[in-house]
Amino acid sequence: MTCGFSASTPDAENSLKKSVGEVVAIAKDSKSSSGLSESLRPVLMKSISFDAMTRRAIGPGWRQFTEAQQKEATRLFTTLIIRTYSSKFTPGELPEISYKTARCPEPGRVEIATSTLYRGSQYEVIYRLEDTGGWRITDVVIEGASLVANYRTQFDAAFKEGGVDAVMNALKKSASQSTE
Amino acid sequence: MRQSIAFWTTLVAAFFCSRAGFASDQTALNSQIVIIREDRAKPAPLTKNGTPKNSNETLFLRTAVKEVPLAPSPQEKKKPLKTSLAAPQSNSRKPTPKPTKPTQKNADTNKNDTIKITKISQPVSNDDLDEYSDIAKIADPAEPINRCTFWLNHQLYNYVLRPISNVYEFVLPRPARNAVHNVFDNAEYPVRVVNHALQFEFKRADLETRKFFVNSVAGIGGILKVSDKIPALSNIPSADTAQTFAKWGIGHGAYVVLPVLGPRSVRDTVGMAGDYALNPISWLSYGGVGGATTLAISGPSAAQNMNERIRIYDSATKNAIDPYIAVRTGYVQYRDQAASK
Repeated sequence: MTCGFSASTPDAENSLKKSVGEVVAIAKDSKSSSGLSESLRPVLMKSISFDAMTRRAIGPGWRQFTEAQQKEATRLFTTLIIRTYSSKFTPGELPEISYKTARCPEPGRVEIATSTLYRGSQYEVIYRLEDTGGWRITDVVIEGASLVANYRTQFDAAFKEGGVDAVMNALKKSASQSTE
Repeated sequence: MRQSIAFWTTLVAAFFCSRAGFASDQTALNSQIVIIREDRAKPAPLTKNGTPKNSNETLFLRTAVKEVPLAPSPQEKKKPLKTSLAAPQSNSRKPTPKPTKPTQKNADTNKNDTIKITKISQPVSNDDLDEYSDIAKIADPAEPINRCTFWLNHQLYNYVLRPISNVYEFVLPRPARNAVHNVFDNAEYPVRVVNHALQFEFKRADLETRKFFVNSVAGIGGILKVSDKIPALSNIPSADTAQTFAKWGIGHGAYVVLPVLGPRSVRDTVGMAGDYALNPISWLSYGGVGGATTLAISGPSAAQNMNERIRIYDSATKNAIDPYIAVRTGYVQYRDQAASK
């Protein structure tokens, strides 16, 4: 099935499986959760479209950011996302993931639902990918809770309260917090 | 007399000139203002009094309608769309509208089409909004009180329940914890089966019954979750009373943060009472078994639940911009999804 502009849905599935496989392999070898986010960073940097994630998480207010602020916001949000994603893993506890048939909501986009057995519980995790010259993850939806949409509501509230400055300050504060 | 004729000539000439000028302005104005009909920008049917009577058309400046090429550059492949409303800012980032499901045929045959309008009801339609423009929302009229309760719960989780949970995890190894969880999960079968039936999901009620018997008999009273090995029984959507209310069309109602228990909507709080009534463990209280014994029996389940809840709570709040909003949004998204299954 052709879903992207140049690539096909199986390409998206293979790309996701490869990325998730690498993440699981790193989480398996990790001794503690504190260093896990830094170990996962290189894999996540190439598998996730942090630009798109940041832009959508911040929402319409994004266009009021200067180019420098957009870059800084993306850098800080990348740190938050990597930490959030890494915190889902407990060293030594590996998920059993079964992939379902991919869905193509529109050209250039694929949603791949998975059923993940982790720590004795079943979770439905949907990965949203986009073809940006290669398939990259743009959102992860765990049991209906979208990572991007969740941050969107938080940024919306900050933006309404104090505009760009409030969003940037909130990002800096959250990114500088210790993960422990 | 001659002066009088000149005066009137000038006056009449000025009148006609002004009319001609008006007409000229009117024509220019008409060409600048467009309406959007059938995905195309068309000149607005303006009269000298403005819009035609009873017209409810939305008017746009032609300059506000911006062309977006159909064939995107390799860097911007994703949005093969057509025309959007131009962003008012001078920002270099160009808005990329969400496609309106273009077919391959359209993409091939309309490559030279440049004026096609997509989201006309949205003054700003672009990638920033995307599918997240319709984020799950819930009324939160008691937000100040809820934030206060949220803060108190946060202290309780961190300084009281987390240590208890850690002790439970330390004392009981994972297989034992799983066994406790399985037994209590199995015992909650009436909650699920009754609610499946109330939701007219009789197939699921049937599967749930089979699962209960398989786990009770082959799984030694539910200690082992044998049903996980049977594909048809391994992933039956859960059902509870609040979910039944949702399927009956009852909305969330207001958001409330309950002491200790955490986030709920009014609907889910009422539903919780229904689940309690359907849960066999709670029946013990009415069957002559003392409250302390009931508490002792349900204790491991509570600890197991607490353990999982704290893990999910940490995951939602640790890297949040505003933990209160993060939990509220996560809760509503989760419940909406559960109700849609």
